[in-house]
Amino acid sequence: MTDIANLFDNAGSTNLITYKGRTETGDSFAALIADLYQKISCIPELKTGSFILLLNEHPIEFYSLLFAIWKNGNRVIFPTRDIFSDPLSILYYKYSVSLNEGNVAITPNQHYVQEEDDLPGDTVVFSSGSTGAPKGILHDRNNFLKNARAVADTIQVSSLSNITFLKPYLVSAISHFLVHYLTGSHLLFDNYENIQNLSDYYTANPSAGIVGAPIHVVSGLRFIPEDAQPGIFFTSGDFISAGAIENIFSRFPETTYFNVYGLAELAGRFFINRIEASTPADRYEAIGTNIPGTGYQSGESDIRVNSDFLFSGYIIDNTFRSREVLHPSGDLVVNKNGLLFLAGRTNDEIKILGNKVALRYIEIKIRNILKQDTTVLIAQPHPTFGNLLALVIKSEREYKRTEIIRKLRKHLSPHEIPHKFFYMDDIPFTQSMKIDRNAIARQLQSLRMIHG
Amino acid sequence: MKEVNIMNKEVVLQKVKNEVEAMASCSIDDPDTEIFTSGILDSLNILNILSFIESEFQLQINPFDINLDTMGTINKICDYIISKNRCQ
Repeated sequence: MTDIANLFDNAGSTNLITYKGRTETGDSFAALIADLYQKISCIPELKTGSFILLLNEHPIEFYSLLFAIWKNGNRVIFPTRDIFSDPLSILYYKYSVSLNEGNVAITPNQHYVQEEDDLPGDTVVFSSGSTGAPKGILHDRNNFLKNARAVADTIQVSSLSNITFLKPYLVSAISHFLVHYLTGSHLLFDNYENIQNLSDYYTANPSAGIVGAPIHVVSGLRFIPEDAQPGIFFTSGDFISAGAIENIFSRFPETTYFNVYGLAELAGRFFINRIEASTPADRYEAIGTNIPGTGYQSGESDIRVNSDFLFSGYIIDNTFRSREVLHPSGDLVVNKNGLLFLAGRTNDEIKILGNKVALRYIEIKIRNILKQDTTVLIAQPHPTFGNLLALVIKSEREYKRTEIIRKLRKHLSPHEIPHKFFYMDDIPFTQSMKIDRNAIARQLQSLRMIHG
Repeated sequence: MKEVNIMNKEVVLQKVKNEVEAMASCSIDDPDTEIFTSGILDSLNILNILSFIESEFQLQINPFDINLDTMGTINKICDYIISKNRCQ
C-alpha cells in the first residue's frame, strides 16, 4: 500500500512524477530519456518518417519516449482511441513505437501510404483529445515547449505540488506535465477513478493544487478537507461555470484559479484566465490574457488564427479534398508551401431558423446567467420546425419556464433561447468524464419538463 | 359546461400571456396587441411560442396554420389553441 504521507516529502524540488507509488526524479527522468534516445538513434527506421506512439502504463515512460523521439527529430502521431479499428487512420504512420520493459519496440505499418511529399520531421500531430476523437491540431516540438513555458510563466507554479488526473489520451496531460517539468515542481498522478484519494493527499499536503479538467475540480471539491489551503486550481478545456468558481472561493478565498482555453483547447492555450476571489463573477471571462504571439479574428464565416508558435491557418466550416487530408477525421490539411491549414473541425453548431447556434458556447453562457453548474444544451430535432434547443438542468430548486426565459432573454439573442426545459436528476457522463449528450438526448422524452 | 370553457380560455390566455411576456421582457396589457408586426417579439421567437404550445397543451401544430391570423396576438394564439384542442 502506498505511503501517501511520504509522497510530498520532496515537493517542489526535483521530484517530478509520482504514480502508483513510483516516483521519478528529474535526474532519473533525464537518464531515461538519454537511454531511450540512444536506443532510438541506433534504429535506422527511426531516422525519418512518422510514428505512432503507443501509450505505456506509466506516464514517465510515455513522456520519456515522447521526448526521446522528439529529440531524434521525428514526427509523432498520437493515436486515437480506436485507431486500430479505423481502417483509414492507420494509413498515415510508418511505424508504431512502444516500450517493453525499457526496450524500444517498433513495428512497421504494413498499410502505410507513402506521401508524395513527406511532411517534415519534428512535427507533432495531436490526433486525439480526452474523448479519443480527433482534434486536428498540429504544431512542432519547439512550439509545444514554448507554449508550455508560456503557461508556466503565467501561472508560476514552481513552488507548488499539484495533483493531476491521468487520462491516457489526453494531450493536455502532457502540457500539464511540461509545465511541471519546466518549473521543477512535483506532480502527482492518479487515475480519475481514485478521485476520493484527494482527501488523503490533502491530509499529507494541505497546500497542493489541482490540475485537470473542470469536471475534476467540480467533482473533487467534496473530497478536499475544510482546513486545506489549495495553492491553485488549474483547469483546461471548457470554461468552468461561475457558480463553481464562487463555490471554490467561498471555501478557499486565498487560492487562485486558472483556466486555459481556446479555439483548439488542447494545444491552443490562447488564453489564460487568472481568477481570484476579488474578481467579479461577471468578469471571469473578460480578463483573459493572450499568450504573446497568438491571436485570432472572427469573420463572418471563418476565424483567422495567427500565431508565431502554434499554427497559422483558417478554421472554417467545410469539408476537404481527400488528398489533402492528413488525418481521416477530415479536419486537418497541410498546404504544400508548409503552412498548416486547420479546417472543418467537427463542431457542435446547429442552425435555428437559419441562424447558427454553437451549443457548447451557448451552454456555458447559460450556466453563467443562471448560476447553475450543471446545465446541458442539446439539439432536439422536430419533425416540422427543424432543430429545437432543449435545456437540461440538474437542480434541487424548482424553476419556472418563464423565469428562465426572462433571465436568458436579457443576455441571449432570440434564436439562442432554448425552446424546452427539463430537469434531470443525474447527468450521465462518458468514460472520459465528458457530459454524455447522446444519452441525455435519448432520455429527453422521459425527463420532467419545466413548466410555468 | 360553458363555465368550464370560459375558465379554460382564461387559463390558456394567462399561460400564453406569461410566455409571450417572458420572451418579450415586457408586460402586454392588451391581448389584442400585435406582437410580431409591432416588434414586441422577433420572428425568431415564433419557434419558442410554437414549441411552448405543443409541449404545454399537448398539441401538434400544422405548419400551414402558422400565420399572423393565428399567431399575431395573444388572443389569436389563445383562440388557435382552444380550436385545435377541440379538434384533436
